[in-house]
Amino acid sequence: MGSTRTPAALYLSLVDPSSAMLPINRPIRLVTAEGEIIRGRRLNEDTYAVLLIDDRERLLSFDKPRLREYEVLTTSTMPAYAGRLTAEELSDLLGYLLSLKEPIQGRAGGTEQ
Amino acid sequence: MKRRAAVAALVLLGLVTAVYRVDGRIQVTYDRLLNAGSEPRNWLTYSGGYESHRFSQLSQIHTGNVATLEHKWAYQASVIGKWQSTPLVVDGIMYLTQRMNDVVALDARTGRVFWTYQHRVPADHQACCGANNRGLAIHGNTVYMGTLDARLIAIDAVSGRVRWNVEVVPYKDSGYSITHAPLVVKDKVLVGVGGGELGIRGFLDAYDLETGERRWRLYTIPAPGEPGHETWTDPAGEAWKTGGASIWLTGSYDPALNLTYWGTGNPGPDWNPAQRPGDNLYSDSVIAVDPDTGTMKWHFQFTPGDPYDFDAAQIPVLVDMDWEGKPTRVMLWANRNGFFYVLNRETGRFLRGSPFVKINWASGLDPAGRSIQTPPPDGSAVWPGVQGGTNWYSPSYSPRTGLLYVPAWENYASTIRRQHQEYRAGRHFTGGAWSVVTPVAGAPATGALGRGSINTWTEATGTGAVLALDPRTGETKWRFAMTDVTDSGILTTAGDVLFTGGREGIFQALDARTGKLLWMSRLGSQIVNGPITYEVDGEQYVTTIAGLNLVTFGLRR
Repeated sequence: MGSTRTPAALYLSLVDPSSAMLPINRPIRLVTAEGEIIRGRRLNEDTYAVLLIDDRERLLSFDKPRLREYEVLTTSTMPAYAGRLTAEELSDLLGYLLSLKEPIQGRAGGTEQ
Repeated sequence: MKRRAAVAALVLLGLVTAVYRVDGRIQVTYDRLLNAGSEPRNWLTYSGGYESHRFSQLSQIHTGNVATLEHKWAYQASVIGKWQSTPLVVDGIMYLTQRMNDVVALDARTGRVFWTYQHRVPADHQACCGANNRGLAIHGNTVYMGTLDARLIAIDAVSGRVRWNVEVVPYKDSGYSITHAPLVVKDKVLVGVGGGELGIRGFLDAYDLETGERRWRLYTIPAPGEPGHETWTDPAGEAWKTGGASIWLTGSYDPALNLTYWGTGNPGPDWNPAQRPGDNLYSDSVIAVDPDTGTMKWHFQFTPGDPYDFDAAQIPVLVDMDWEGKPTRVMLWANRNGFFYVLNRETGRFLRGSPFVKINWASGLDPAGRSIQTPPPDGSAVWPGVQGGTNWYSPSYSPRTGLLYVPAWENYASTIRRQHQEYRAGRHFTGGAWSVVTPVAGAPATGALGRGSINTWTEATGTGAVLALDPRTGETKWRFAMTDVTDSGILTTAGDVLFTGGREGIFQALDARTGKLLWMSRLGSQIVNGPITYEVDGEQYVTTIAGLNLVTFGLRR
C-alpha cells in the first residue's frame, strides 16, 4: 500500500474515501435474473463476467449479460475519518500505512517497438 | 513372408511419402505470394497477403456454425513474455517465431514439432521496448527472421538449418533491433529496424533472397542535402542523427504500382520536441518505396513534430474502391493518433480523415490531411493516451462488407512530462515520461504495457473495442465493446466471421456484418497477436496465441 500510493492519496482516502476510491474498489449493486439484489465489492471484471465479495463475505461470480441490473457506485462504504480522528491520530495512521511497503514492478521505459 | 514384405514396403512408401510431402511441397514461389488470397488454405505472409487485409476466403466456418468451434490442439512456448507472433502456414506446416528468436516448424494439424531453430541472442542486446518478434517471411523453401540483435537470418524450411545469417547493423550500444516479420518482394527480402526510444536513425533495407547481400538501404530520416532534411530545424543540426523513425511493423505491397508501403515510428526523443524542432520527416509517416531500388516515391506524415509518441506503426491496408465515382487505389489507415485516414496510394494524396476515438491534441485535419494541432498544456490529459487510439495490432478489411475492423482503445488518456535529455549511445532517449490518467489522483495506475490477472485498471481508465469503420464516411458502423483494452489483431473470413482477442484472454467470434457475439472461449491469458485461419485435409482451423499457449480451433466433428 505504501509503495503504490502517495501520502496525499492515502490521506484523502482517510478523510474523504469516496473521492479517493480506486475504481476496482467501487461498490457494486446488481440484480440477478431471479430478482435477488446483491451488494458487494468488485474483485475483478471482464466483458462477460464480474467477480465480487458481497456484504456477507461470499465470493460470487456473475455473467453480466444475464443480470437484470448492474451498477458501479461511487460512494465508498468506508466512513470518512475527518473529524473522527485528531490530526495527530491521522498522522500516526498515515505513517503506519506508508510503512506497508512491498517491492513493486517497474514500468517499462517506453512503448512497444 | 510376402505379406510382411508388402507391409514393409508400404511402411517404407509411407515414410518416403511423408518425407516427400514435407520436402516437395514447401516451394513458395513469388507467384504464390502475389496470389496468396487465391490459396486460402495457407497463410503465406504476416498479414495474409500483400494487400494486408487479414481476410481469408475460407468459409467452412461461418456465422451459422462458428458456435460449434472446439479446441483441436495447442502448442506451448517455454519463454515467458508477450508472444506477438503471427504464424505462417504452408501446405500443412506452420512456421512461427517464439521468444527470444526461435523459429518452430509444426504440423498444422496436430501441433507436433518438426524442428526448432534457436538463434542465440547476446545478453547485451537492446530490445528497445520488449523482446518481441512478430513473425517470419517465406520464399522458396526458406524462412526469414529478423533478430533482436539486428541480424537477418535465412533458414531452410525443411531442415531448420541456417542458410545465411547477416548483420543488418551492429547492435552493441546502438539501440537497433528487429522485431517485425520481414517482407519478401520479388528477389529481395525487406526489413526495417526498431529502436525509436533509443536514439536510432531508422532505415529500411533490402537483401538478396539467395545470398543475404544487401541491395539497398533507405534511411527514414534524410541526411543534410536530401529532401525532407529541412524539417529538422534544431540550430545545432544534430537532432536528425538520433531522431528515431524506426520501422517495427511489416509493410504492404502493390504489385501493379510496384510500391511497398511502410509505417514509421516516433521521432526521438519521444516526448520533448523542443530538442528536435520541425516536422521531423519521415517520422510518424507512411512511406511508399520502390522495392527494386529503395527509392521513396511519396510520403504522408500523420503527426508532424510529434510530442505524443504516436508511431505510425500500423499495417497499411490496400483496397481498390470507387472514390468519387472513379476506381481508385486507396490505403486505409487507422492511426495511433486517433484519426482514420484514407489516402490515394498511387500519389499519397489525402482523400479523407476523421477521428475514430476521442481526440484533444488536434481540432481536425486540414484539406491536405495535416493535423491542426491543439496541444493540451503539459501535464494535462492527452486523448488518446500514449498507447494510442490503436497501435500495432493488425486491423482487418473484409471485401464482403467493405468495412475496416480496428482494435481500439477508448476512454483512455495520458499525461506527459517533458524534460531535456542528452543522447547517450545505447541508453533510453525519451525526453520525459508518461502516466495513464486515472480518475483518482495519486492512485496506482498500471502501465499501459501489461498487468496481472486482475483488471485493477477497470473501465474507469480505458476500455477496448472492435470498431467497424466505413472508409467512405469514417462512420463507425458497429462497435463491440470490451471491458478491458485490447492488443489483439483481427481476422475476418468469407464466412463473415470476425475473430479477435484482447487482454482479458477471451478469444471471440463476431458477426462481421453486425458485431454480434457468436462464440467465445476463455484462454486464460492475454491475446497479443493476430489470429489466422488455414485449412488442412479439408478442415478449416483458426489459431491464436494466449500467454504462452498457441491454441487452434476447428469445427466439432
